[in-house]
Amino acid sequence: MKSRLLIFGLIVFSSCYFNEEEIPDTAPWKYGSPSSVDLNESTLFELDENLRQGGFDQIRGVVAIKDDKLIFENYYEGGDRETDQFLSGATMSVMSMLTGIALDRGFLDSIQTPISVFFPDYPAAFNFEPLKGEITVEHLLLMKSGFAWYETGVPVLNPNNSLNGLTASNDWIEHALTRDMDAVPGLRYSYNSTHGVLLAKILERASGQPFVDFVNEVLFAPMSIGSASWQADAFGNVNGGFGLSLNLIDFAKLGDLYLNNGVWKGQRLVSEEWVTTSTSQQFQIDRFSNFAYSWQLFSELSTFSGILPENDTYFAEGAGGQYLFVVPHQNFVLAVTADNFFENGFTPLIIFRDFFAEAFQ
Amino acid sequence: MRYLFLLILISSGNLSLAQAEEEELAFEIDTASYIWIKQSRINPYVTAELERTSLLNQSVSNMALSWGVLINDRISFGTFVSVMTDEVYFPLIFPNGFDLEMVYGGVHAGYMWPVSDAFSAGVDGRLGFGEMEVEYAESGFDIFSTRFTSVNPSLTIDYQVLRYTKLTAAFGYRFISGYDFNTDEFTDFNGSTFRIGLKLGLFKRLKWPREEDIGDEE
Repeated sequence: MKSRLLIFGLIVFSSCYFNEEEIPDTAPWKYGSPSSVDLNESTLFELDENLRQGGFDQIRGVVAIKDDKLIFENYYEGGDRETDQFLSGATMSVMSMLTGIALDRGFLDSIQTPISVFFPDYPAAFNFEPLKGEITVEHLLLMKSGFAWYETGVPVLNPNNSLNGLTASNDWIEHALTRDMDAVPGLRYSYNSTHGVLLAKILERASGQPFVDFVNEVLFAPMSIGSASWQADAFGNVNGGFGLSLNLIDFAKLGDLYLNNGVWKGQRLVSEEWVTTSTSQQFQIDRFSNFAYSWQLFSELSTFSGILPENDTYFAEGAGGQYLFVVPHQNFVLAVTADNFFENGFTPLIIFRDFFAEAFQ
Repeated sequence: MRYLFLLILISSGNLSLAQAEEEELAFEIDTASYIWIKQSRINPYVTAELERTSLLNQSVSNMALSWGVLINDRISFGTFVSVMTDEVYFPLIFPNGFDLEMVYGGVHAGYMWPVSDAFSAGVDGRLGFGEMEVEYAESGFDIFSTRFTSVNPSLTIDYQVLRYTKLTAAFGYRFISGYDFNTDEFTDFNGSTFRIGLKLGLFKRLKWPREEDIGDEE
C-alpha cells in the first residue's frame, strides 16, 4: 500500500510540471551573433557596456537585425522584451505605412485627395478658410498642411507649444481643423502631430471600420504584433500623431517589413511602390535631415551620410529617443527606445553612427 | 498534457502489477534458500539519483527520481523525472547571458544480469519529454521555453547494500532533439551522462541478511 502511495505521489509531482504552458518565443528572426554577419563584436560589447553604465541616458532598449538575424537585443533601465514603449512621433511613420496600405487596397484614391472630403461633419472648419480646402493627405504626410502650429523648437512644457492646446481639448479633430492657416498648403514644413490624428480619422472613414480594427486587420495581426496600444481623445479619436505604444521587438518588425519592401514572412502587406515612394526624399528640412512621407533621411551634408558606403538609410523618429533605422544596402534594421523626453533625445543617432555603423567596418 | 496522460497510463500499469505480487513476496521471504528465485516476480522500486551531464560543453547536475517495477530482478521499466539543478550559461542573444533550465521526464526500461551475490550489471534506456527554459542571467526574466525529446542509453551497475536498498550507477549518452532555439549557432545539446543513486525496492534477493552479516545485525 505504501509503495502505491509513493508512486502515486511521484506521478502527481511530475504532472505538475507537464501541465505548464510553453512560453512562446516572440522574436520572429533567427538568433545570430554579430560575428555571424561579419559585424565587429567588440564594438557592440563596448556599446552594451556603455548602456549598462548609463553612458547614454535613459535608453530603454536596443534591437538590431541584420541579414534576417537578430544580432543584438538588450534592455536597460528596467525594461524587458515585454515592456511597451511610447513611440511618440515615430507613430507618424506607422501612419505613413497605413496610408500606403489604404491606397493599395483602394480605400484611398490618391494622396492628393483633399482631406475636407473626409470631414463633412466639420463644415465650419473649412467654410471660413478656403485654403484648408486645398490640404491633401499628402500634405499631412509631408507636414506641410499650412496650419499655424508650433510644436518643434518650443519646449513641451512651454505654454506656447501647440501640443498643450491639443491635449487640453476634448475633440482633437476639431482642434486640429480649426487652427488658423499661416501658409499655403504644400509650401512650408512645420511638424504637426495633429496630422496623425487627422490621418487616423481619414483611414477610419475611408476603410469603413474603426481605425484600430483597420490597423489590426491590415498590419498588426499579419505581423503578430500583439503589444500595440493607442491613445485616444475624449471622443475616441485615435492619436495617430504620437499615440502608439509597442514593445521593441514589434517596433523592429515594422522596420523589417520595410527593409523587405513591404513583404513580411512571404506575405505582401505594403506595395513595393509605396515603400519606395514613402521613403524617398521629398525635400530637405534642415542641414541634417531630409524628409519623405513621414520618414526621415540623412542629408548629404550631415555627418551621418558618409559613414556607410551608401546613404540609403531612412528612419522613424519620435521624441524622447524612439528611433527605427532601416539601412537597405546593409540589410539592417536598428530599433532603439528611450525615455529621454526632457534632455537629449538624439542619443540613438549616436548609437547608430558610432557603434553599429562602426561595427560594419 | 499528452505527456501527463502517458505517465499516468504507464505508471497505472505498474501499480497494478506491483499490487498483484505483494502478498506472494511476503510468503516467500522466509522460505527461500537461494539468492535468485527462478519464477517471475514483479516488485516496485524507486530510485533517487544525482546526475552529471554534459550540456553545451558545460558540466551540470540534475536530480532525478525514477520509479517502476522490477521483473525477476532483471527487467525494469517505469517512469522518471529529472530536474536540472544547475543553470547553463547560454549566450543565445548577443550581448546577453542567458541561463538555460531543463526539466524532463518520461519512461525507462532496463535489463540487469547478476554478476555476484551483491552486484549486477546491465543496460538501461530512457525516453524523455521535457522543456528547456531560457531566462536572462541577470534579471531571471523568462524569455521563452521550448519542448524537446531525449533518448539516453546507459550501462548500469547495481550493488545491493541492504535488504531493500541498492546503490546504482550508470554511464551513458543523452541525445536531445525536437527543440527550437531559432538559431543555427547552438545546435548540439547532446552529451554524456553519469548517474549515481540510491534504489529502494522489494528486491528479489531473498537470502538476506547474508550469513556473514547475521552476527553484525544481531
